[in-house]
Amino acid sequence: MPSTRISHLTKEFDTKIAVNDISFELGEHEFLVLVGPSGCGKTTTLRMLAGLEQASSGDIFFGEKRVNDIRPRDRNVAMVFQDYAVFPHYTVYENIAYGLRSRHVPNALVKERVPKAAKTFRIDHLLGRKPRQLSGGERQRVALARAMVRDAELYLYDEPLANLDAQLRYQAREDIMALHNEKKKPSVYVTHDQSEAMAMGDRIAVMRDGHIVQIGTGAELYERPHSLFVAYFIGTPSINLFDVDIVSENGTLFARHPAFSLEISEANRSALLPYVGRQVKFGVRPEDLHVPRMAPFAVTEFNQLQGAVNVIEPSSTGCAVYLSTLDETAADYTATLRTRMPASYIGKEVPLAINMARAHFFDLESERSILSP
Amino acid sequence: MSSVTVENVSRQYYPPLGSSETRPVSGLVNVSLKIANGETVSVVGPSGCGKSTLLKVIAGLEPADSGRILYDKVDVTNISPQARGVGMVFQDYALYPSKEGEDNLSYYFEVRKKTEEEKQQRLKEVAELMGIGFDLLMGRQVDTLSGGEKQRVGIARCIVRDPNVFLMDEPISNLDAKLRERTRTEIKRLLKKFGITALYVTHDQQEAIFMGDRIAVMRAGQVVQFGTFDELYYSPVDLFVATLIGTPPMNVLPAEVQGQSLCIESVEMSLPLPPELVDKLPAGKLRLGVRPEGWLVNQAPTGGIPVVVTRVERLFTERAAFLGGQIGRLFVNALVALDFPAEVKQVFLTPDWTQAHFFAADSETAILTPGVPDLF
Amino acid sequence: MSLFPLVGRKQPRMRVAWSLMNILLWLGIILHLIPFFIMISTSLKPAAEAMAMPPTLWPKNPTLVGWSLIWNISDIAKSLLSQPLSRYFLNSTLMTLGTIILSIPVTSLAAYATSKLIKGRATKPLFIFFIGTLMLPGIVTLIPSFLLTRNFPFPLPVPPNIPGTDIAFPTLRIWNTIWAVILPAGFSASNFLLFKGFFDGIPDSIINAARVDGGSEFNIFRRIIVPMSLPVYAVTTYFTFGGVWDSYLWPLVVIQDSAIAPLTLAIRRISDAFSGAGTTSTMTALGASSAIAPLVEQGLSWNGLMVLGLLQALPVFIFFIFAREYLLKGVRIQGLK
Repeated sequence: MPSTRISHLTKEFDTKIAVNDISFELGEHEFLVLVGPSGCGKTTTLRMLAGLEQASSGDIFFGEKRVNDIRPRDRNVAMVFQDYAVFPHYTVYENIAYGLRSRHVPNALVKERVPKAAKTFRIDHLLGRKPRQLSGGERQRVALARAMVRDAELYLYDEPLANLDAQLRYQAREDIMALHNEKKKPSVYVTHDQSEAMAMGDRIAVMRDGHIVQIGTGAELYERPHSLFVAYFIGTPSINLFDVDIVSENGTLFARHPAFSLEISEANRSALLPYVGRQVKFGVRPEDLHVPRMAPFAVTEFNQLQGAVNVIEPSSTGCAVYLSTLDETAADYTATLRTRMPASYIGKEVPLAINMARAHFFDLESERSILSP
Repeated sequence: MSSVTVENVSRQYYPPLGSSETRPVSGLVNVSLKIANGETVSVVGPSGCGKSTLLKVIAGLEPADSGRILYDKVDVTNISPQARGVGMVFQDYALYPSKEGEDNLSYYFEVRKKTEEEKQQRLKEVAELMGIGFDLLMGRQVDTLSGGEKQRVGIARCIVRDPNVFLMDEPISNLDAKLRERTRTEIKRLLKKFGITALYVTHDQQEAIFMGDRIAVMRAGQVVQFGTFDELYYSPVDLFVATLIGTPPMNVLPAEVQGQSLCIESVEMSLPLPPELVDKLPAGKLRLGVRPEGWLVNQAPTGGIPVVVTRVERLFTERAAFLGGQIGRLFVNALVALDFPAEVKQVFLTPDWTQAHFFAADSETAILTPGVPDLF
Repeated sequence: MSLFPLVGRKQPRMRVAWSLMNILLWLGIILHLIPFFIMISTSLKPAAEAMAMPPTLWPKNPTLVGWSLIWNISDIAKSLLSQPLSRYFLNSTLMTLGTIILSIPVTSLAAYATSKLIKGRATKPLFIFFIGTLMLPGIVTLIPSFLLTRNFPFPLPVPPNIPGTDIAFPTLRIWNTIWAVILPAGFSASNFLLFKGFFDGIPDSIINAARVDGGSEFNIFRRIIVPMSLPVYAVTTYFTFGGVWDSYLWPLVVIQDSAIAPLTLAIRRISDAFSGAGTTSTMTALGASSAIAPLVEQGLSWNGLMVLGLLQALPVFIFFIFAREYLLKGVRIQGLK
């Protein structure tokens, strides 16, 4: 039985439709991430779940109960906000205890739970302080502890990491997962950062213009995006995209671009046959470009791409190389390599091999995937 | 474009009279930097480290208490910001809100008393440089623009006047993650295309690495280390630089050198040290620093540090996964293969000694760092 | 209406609370409008009806006799007012406009400087001292201020002699000129705080951006800051307008010459004459003083006083209508009451 269910939920504001007919179910212990660019309706969805916003139509069920018209305080949800929303005039202790006190929990229980929650988030030494004496990371941990002391049915997170420094974000992510694992309750997490979504979500719902365009596990979204938007949105650096013509020569299909001509793999041949003579969008993930002599497949004339190196960005796993094609379009593309490319290659022209078995193709008009529609 | 030299610049802030704090707060302490012509230097550090102050001092928006600022060979320390000819891009865009996109660009021509023809000529050039759709932004009221569009106008406002130096103060940190990725590539390309001398301030080390030819790490008003990524990554001068550069951050374990072995304090466990390290390390307490990719990960107990696995984060784009776990109360991260089994609950980690960092326990300065590895 | 939660309004308890709130707000609005209605209806009544008991809600035969009598008051009762009423209108207008022209630029520039330009360690204590002195109620400083208008810069009845001589220090005397009203109002503490609050909210980066663009400090203020701040200019101008137009006590103290007196003083004089003559009661109306008698004979009573009240209130009201859009924006920004 799903613990939380949304069906055909819609929210209209005066001038625009913020959320347009979305439906999903949450498992018992599921961590669902809503991700999308700003203005896609993800925060509005979350606010409707919390009861801070009235749905225009559609239903929200917690278990068997329809909660559309139930006030936020009667819904028993806990929420963590981007700006932490800690009460500045209360001490850390009172902040954490607030949710319990407002529900008239006996004082003995408050005294037991607050220090325990504080300890989980390593703020037990700060209980007597006021929020303005705390750093951003500590404030966020107060907000998490406040969510932790309550036994809510549903946990909601509204971009809780967005205001933290990059270095603190990693730790805070661990803290949120710790809270989730402790409570074992369904959670909905909103973010605009797909890498955060991929790292945290059991499932991820990608939103755009008020719709859920695709929902699935991180691997599903990454390997089999249904649309150009999802393919582009998921993954950093982004997928490389080129407009190519599909041509057939002696029964073999090629993706042709002014800068390259690539042989389409046998597995994708049948799906692309109807597109011969037409233009499609060809996409390849940065990690499917390889230094030819290190490529895990046979390198031929028809799976290589020549380009000029613009930027080399080192990372802990290797490096990301930003290149552009040599023809007059000078299209930008990116490759992530498992080895460190020396900076001396900047400005040089290098060939890279493309793993065509992992290529993506999209219809130019509908922007739907041709391989996994 | 010109080179920029910052010589021993200091800047102090005095707390208001009557407040309990009377000692001055250091904004900048004896900062020296040299930015070559056409070079991009990133300045990175936590908030309050003085990086924005440095930018303002170079722009002339804040005076330097001591030291000199030179553009090429010209001392500009006492020249007003109006006359320095710098371009500045701000985190909050700082567009003139009551004006349209184009008026934001033309303010410069207005105060410089340029003719209408000069202005139109230059605006046309810039619109071409800024790429597709830029002329559409020009006619719109500023408050109707999205964050990314505002910052494009902000950047164009700098380019339009052909400045001596570009100063950027966290220009993309208010943008969406995806837009950030695209915008930073766009900025980098513009900088390289025109050989612009630029100073790029950010709190995000990843951004600093991407944007900067060289990177200056700041802390408490001082430049801790200034160099290329390789220098900062493989030879950090102290623990601060070591943990700031690289994601996930370097794992730091308190340890003690006892004869031929290294005792990891949180688990009371001794690891044998290779002989070449024994000679180089002082006996006693220190900090062992291991980057996530610097661990040898074993699922069988082969003498490594036991780690309780809390989660495995799969990074498809990197074709790798990060394993998160705990040694005692300390969190550690290790790089593992993308197909690392999810059901594994315990692993054993041994540092790859050729990649290990060692820091003094008290001062946190580096004792031994691996340096740039030899790939071949 | 954030007073009520967005979700759960349809619950019966919430509905009752919602209707109660509506009734209460309507009551408040009506209570505010009743005096205006009575003023307008009474100003259109003939003398007898204006004093009838019980009062009529709306005149049976509306007449403009009260309006015409008041407008021609100096012709009918020369001894009461030496100048035509329009003259006092003009005086008030001159004082008000003069004050606005002087006070708004001075105050806003001072606020801008305090907010954005002066950044030393003494700024804050000085600011608090400065605001503290300005926060004194006007009545406390009334006498010293009055003396200052007579012998500037000495707040003394007679200027002291130059030491060692019998010659008094030369002083500036603005008493009994319209400058005595305009100059002291040239700087307004409450407007200063409004401006400063608004300017504090403007990010420094905008000013810095304009600086590196090459704009001089004054140019930045004029071309960047002022256009951004029109709502707060509207609010302060409105407050200044209302404050000077309706001021009574200070003009009474510093203006003696009836030819330069503002409208408030003239109105007070007429209404004093009425109450002194007892025209407010039918019984003693016949025994009115000689100054007011011709007016009363021609049918003046409460209706005239209401006309005066409306004349005084009208300009402020008209100003509000014209600047409505900016004022409301300003109120939103400032969170004013």
